[in-house]
Amino acid sequence: MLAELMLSALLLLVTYWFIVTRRLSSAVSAYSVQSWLLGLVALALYVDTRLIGLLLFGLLIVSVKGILIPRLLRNRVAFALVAGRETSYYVRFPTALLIGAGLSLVGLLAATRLAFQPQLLPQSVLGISLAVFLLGLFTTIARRDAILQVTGLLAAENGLLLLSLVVAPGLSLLIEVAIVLDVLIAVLVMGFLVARMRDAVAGTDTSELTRLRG
Amino acid sequence: MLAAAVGQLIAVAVVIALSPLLRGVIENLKAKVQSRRGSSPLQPYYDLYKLLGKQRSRTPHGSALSVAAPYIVFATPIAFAMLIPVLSAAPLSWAFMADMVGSGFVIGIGGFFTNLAAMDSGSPYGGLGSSRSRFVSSLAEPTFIVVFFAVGFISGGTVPFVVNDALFTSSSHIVPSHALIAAAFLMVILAEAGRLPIDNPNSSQELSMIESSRLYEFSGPDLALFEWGGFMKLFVLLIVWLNVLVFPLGLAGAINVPAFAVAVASLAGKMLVAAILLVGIESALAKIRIMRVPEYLGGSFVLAFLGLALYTVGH
Repeated sequence: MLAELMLSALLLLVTYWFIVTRRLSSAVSAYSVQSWLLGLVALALYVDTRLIGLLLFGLLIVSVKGILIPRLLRNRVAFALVAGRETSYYVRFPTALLIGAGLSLVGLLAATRLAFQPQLLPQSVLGISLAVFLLGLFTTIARRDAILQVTGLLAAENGLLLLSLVVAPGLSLLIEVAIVLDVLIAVLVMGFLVARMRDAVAGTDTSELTRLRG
Repeated sequence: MLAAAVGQLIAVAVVIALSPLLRGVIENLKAKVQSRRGSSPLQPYYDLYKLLGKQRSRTPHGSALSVAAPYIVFATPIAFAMLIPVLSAAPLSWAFMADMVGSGFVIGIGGFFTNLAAMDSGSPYGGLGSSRSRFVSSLAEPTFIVVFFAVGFISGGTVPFVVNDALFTSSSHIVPSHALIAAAFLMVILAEAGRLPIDNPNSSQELSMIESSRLYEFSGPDLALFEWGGFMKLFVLLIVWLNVLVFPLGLAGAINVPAFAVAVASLAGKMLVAAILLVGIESALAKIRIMRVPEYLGGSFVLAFLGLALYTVGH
C-alpha cells in the first residue's frame, strides 16, 4: 500500500512539472514520466492483489502512454521542440503555481467529502487523482501554446485513469484498451491539428488565433 | 548533567571543526565532476588560517555594527547547533531553549546582522547584496513556516529532538508528506545557505552575486569569521535536514565515548552523502536569474503545502 501511495504522491508532484515547465520538450518528458508512474501504480497494485487485469493495464499504460505517445508527440511536433522555445501563460508563473496549489487542495478536500470508500487504495490517492485531473485541466486552459494544451489534456486524462484505479480496480480490460486507444487517436488528431495551425499562423501560440473564419 | 554539558560541547566542537571540511569536499568533488583536479578538501582550513593571520582593516565609515557583526555571524550557528540533534538522539541540557521556530529565528539573526553590517559600510555592493538576500529570505520564509506547521502537526511538537523521534515512529501514511516536506526543506536550505540554484558561492561577479557582495568591505579575521559562519550555517542546516527529516539513524543513544565516536563517524558519512547530493544538484542546475527566484521558492512552498495537505486529507 505504501508503494502505491508514494508513487501517487510522485505522480502529483510530476503534474506540477507541467505547470512550471517553460520548454515544450520537457512537457512531453513530464507526460512520459507521469504515465510511467501511473503504470507503476497499477503494477504495484497488481503485486498486492494479483488481479491479472491490473498487470495488463499497467503494461498497456507504460507501453502506449509512457513510450508510444511521447514518441509520437515528439515526431508530430518536432518542429516546435527543435526550436526549444520558451512558452508563456495567460497568468504569471508564481500565480500559476499558487493556483495549482489551491486546485490540488480542492481535489484533496473533495475526495474526503465523497461518500465513497475506496477498496484497495487509500483515500488520499482518490484525492490525488482528482487533483491531477484539475491541474491538467488548468494547464490546458492557462497555457498559450497549443502543444502544452495538448499535454495538459493528456495529464488530466492520466488523473482520470488513476481515478479509475481507485474506484474500479478490476475494470474490464476491454474498456481500458478502448480508452487508451482513444487517447492514441486523440494524440494523432491533435498533432495533426497543431501542425495545421503551424502552417496557418506560423506558430503554435493560441493567443494568435483571433479571427474566426468559416 | 555534566555529561550532557560535555556532550553538547563536543557537538558544538564537531560543528566548528568539520564545517570547513564539508565546503572543501563539495568544492573538490565539484571540480572532479568538471574534470578538473580541484583544490584539496582541506583548502578552506588554509584559507581561514591565512585570513586569521592577516592584519585587520576596517572601513572608517562603519559603526560598531561592523565590528560586532562578524562575531555574531560566527556565534549564531553555534547557538543553533545546541538546539538540534547533532550527535545524540536524546535531548541535551540546552535543547529545550527553543523549538524549530525559535531556532529559525536564531539562525536568522546572523543573516540580519550581515545585512546591517553590509549596509553600514556604505558600499553600494553591500546594499545590493543585502536587498537581494532579504528578497530571497523573505520568499523562503513561507516555506519554512509551512514546514514547521507540517512537522508540528504530524509529530505534535516542534522541538527538533521530539520531531525526529515522532516522524520515524508514526504510521506509514505520513511517508509521502514526509518526503515532500524533506524535499521542500532542502530547497529552502539551498537558498538560505547561498548555494547554487540561487547564489553561486564561488563567484564574485557583480551582476549575480548575493552573498559575496555583502562581504566586500570585510577582510582579514573579520572575513574569516564571516566565511566560517557561512560554512557552519550550511553545515547545521544540513544536519537538521539529515538528522531530523531524512535519516535520524546513527545518533548516539547515550552520552558516552563509544556512542559519540559512532555518532561522529555516522555524521561524517551522512555529510559525505549530502555533499555528493549537493554536487549533483549544483552540477546539473544553472544559477537561476534573480527574477526567477520567486518561482523556485514558490515551488518549494507548493511542495511543503502539498505535504501538509496530503497529511491532513489522509488522516
